[in-house]
Amino acid sequence: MEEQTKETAEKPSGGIHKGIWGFFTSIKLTVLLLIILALVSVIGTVIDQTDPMKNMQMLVGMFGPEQGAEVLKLLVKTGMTNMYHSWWFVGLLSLLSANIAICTIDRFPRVWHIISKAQTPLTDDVLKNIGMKREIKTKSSAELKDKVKAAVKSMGYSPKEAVEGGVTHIYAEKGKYSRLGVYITHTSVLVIFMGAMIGSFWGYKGYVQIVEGQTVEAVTLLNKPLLRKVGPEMPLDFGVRCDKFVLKMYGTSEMPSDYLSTLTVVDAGKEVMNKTIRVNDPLEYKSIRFYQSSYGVQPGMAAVTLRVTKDGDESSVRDYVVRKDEPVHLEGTDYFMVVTQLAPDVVQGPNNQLISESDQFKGSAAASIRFMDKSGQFVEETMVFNLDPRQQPRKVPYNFKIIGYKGPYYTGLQVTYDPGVWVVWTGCFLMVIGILVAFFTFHKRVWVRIQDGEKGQATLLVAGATNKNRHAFEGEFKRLAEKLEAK
Amino acid sequence: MTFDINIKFFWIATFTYLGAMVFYLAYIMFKNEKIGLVATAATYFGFLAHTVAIGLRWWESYQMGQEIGHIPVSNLFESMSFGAWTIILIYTIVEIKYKNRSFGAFVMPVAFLALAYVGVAPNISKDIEPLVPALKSYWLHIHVITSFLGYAAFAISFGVSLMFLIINTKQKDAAYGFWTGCLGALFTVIIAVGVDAVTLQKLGGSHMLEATFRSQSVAVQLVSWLCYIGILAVLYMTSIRLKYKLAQFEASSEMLDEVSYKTIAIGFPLLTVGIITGAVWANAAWGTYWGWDPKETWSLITWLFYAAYLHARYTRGWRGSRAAILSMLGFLAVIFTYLGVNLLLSGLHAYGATGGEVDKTAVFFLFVFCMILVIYIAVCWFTSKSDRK
Repeated sequence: MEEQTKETAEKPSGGIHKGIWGFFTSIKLTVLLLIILALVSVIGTVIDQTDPMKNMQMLVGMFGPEQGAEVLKLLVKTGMTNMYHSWWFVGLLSLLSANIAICTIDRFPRVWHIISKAQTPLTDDVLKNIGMKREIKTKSSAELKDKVKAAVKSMGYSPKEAVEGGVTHIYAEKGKYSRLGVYITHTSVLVIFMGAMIGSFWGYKGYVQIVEGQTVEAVTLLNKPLLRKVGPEMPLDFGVRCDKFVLKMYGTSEMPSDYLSTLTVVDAGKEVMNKTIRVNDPLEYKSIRFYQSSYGVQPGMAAVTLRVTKDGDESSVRDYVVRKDEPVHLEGTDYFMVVTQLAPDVVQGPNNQLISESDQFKGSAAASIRFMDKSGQFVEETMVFNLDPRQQPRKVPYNFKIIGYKGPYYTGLQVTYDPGVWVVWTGCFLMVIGILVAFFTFHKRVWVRIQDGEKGQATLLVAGATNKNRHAFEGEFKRLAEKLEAK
Repeated sequence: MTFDINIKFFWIATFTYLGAMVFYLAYIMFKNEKIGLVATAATYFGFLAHTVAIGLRWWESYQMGQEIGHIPVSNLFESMSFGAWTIILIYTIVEIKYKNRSFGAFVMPVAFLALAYVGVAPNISKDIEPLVPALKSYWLHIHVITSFLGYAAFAISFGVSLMFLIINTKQKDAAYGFWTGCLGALFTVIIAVGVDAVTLQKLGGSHMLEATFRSQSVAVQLVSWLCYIGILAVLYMTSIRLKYKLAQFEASSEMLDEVSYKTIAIGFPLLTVGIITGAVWANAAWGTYWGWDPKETWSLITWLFYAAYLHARYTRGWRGSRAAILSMLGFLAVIFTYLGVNLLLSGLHAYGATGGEVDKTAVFFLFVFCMILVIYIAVCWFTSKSDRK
């Protein structure tokens, strides 16, 4: 873009006012703020913004335990551990907003004046400042004017006509609204900021865990709305019940392929909504949204599915669903088995101990099975875990593998309420439109002056101007001149 | 039945790009039109093989199972391959439009190195893996494609800006120090990673530079840093000769400046749409359109950078060399947004590579590296005459 801007250099007769205004109308300030914001944002990606433990680890690694703790305290105090919400970061954003707003207010009237003014025929003053011009000598004729108009029209313009003092003017312009593109873009930034503020002041974010069959009526808050007084929980004026939770794996692997919750919303005793949600597809009721986020096995209530094969007899495979602490008879034997411990997701620690990683059932599940004979005498206890299938009971000649969980899961839902989100989307939409208009449309103007001379000759003076993309317009101008020369 | 025919086409593409790169460099050295034609032909052939590789991988993923099939942009290998593909795509358009082959020598190495890295690194999986539930959405397609097209445009701008600086800076300019410094840092890293591969058989990720700068032996570390400084010094002395080679091509400063600007003018809207679609997707998946996650933040940092570039062009004195420098710095931000975040930092986006905690020592060495670079550029600045374009 080749627009030249004028830095306002009026000497203040309003003293401080003009000085401050002048400061904020500067594009140099914009460049500076953008770069500062960029650099400062880097800090927040190295200093963890969500987990204080990670910062502690990093600092202790760099400075040792005592110094590390001191540095962490300093970081917390200066807001570095929550820097995107700190007063100085918000202050920088406010400065940028003021810069954008004031630049817009300062420059927009001039641009609107240009747009709203109708194009006028070419005057000598204007001609002086135009670089793109050409004189063409041609034969005078009655149809010359119409030929010129046709040539201009063929370039995609709607030519206007005027006669002044024996000179015929043909002139046309297009794309003058393209000058608005920049202002749409900048306004959109302010709209987005506004939407974000609305969300911070009145919106919230939290989570719920619903065990299959149960209903919740309050949300545990993670982010509180800044302008509402709330406790650690936000009550809902309706209930959400989880009817069923389904976990799908890829084939027989331990990788989850999908997880879905069937939810029912109960409002004032009536079931008003029912939806099966999955990741990327939330439920929305009264502007509050529930997102499928995680899941887990409800401790103490789960049952494992054991695939049991008799040693040496592959065809004897049989599945048993065994609830914790409930003895189950092993068919075809005198043994009873009881699951005494259950962990859905374990890893092996550095000292070979088993560490429970999460509540989610994965292929790395483990169970401790106690075997008794029919009189209740202890026979043996084995830890069966899929990470090491060689671990099997010694006395009982069967092979055990954990292939699934049955019984109540809880579903973990992220809950959000954001009244500003549609303002933000509007801003985003405006931004894309504004950028496309600003970059890819241009204000182009052409003028042709027809002056009749002597001996049947006429002189055509062709001039052109554009606010952007001079290179491409020069090509267009050449083509117009060539068309006129041919007439 | 193995599903890796796509890998064979991937290697065909990689080596063809290597050939193209060699021919573009020869074209610059000898200014022979026939060599130039071979270079372009190699580019087209490599691009064809690459397109087949990606298409085949998409098809093969569905052969593995209807629910496993997905667009091949879901892990580090796939996305880097797609990224290189978009770079070549945009490059061929620019080459045709401006009828000039000289940029090829600067763009082709980027594509080749990207593919070579993910092809050779043993810790980067080339297997087709099923998607985790969070990625099962059509937003994956549009978010990744627009973001990568944006990155590709910025990559082209980087190459063209580098060329502009080579032609337009004198040895005592700060800008000369800047581009020779960047090249020096790049060569040093490539050589060091090569040493990693040869001596330790490990490449990248948390093992990066373990054979040299992060070596157990202090002597090896010292030698590494001395080599880095040495490479910078050598480049400072000799790079001026590149200027005379390149000046022979009809790549005028105005044209280079224009191409550099126009590719950013294409990349910026694409990146904007990429960030916005990411936000919309995040809102559909997690409930927040912006969480200041390192990946999100770095994409914003890149966006702010290019916004600064676009605004700076309005201010007198920010065309030419300064704009070229900003364009190159912006691309470094792009690289960090794409790779650095996944490999070095933790967060929601670390689906691919190592993911997990901040690789502290890697960050530390990155920091020292950059400090040396900054000092080098500052030295050039302070010894420069006030002769900045």
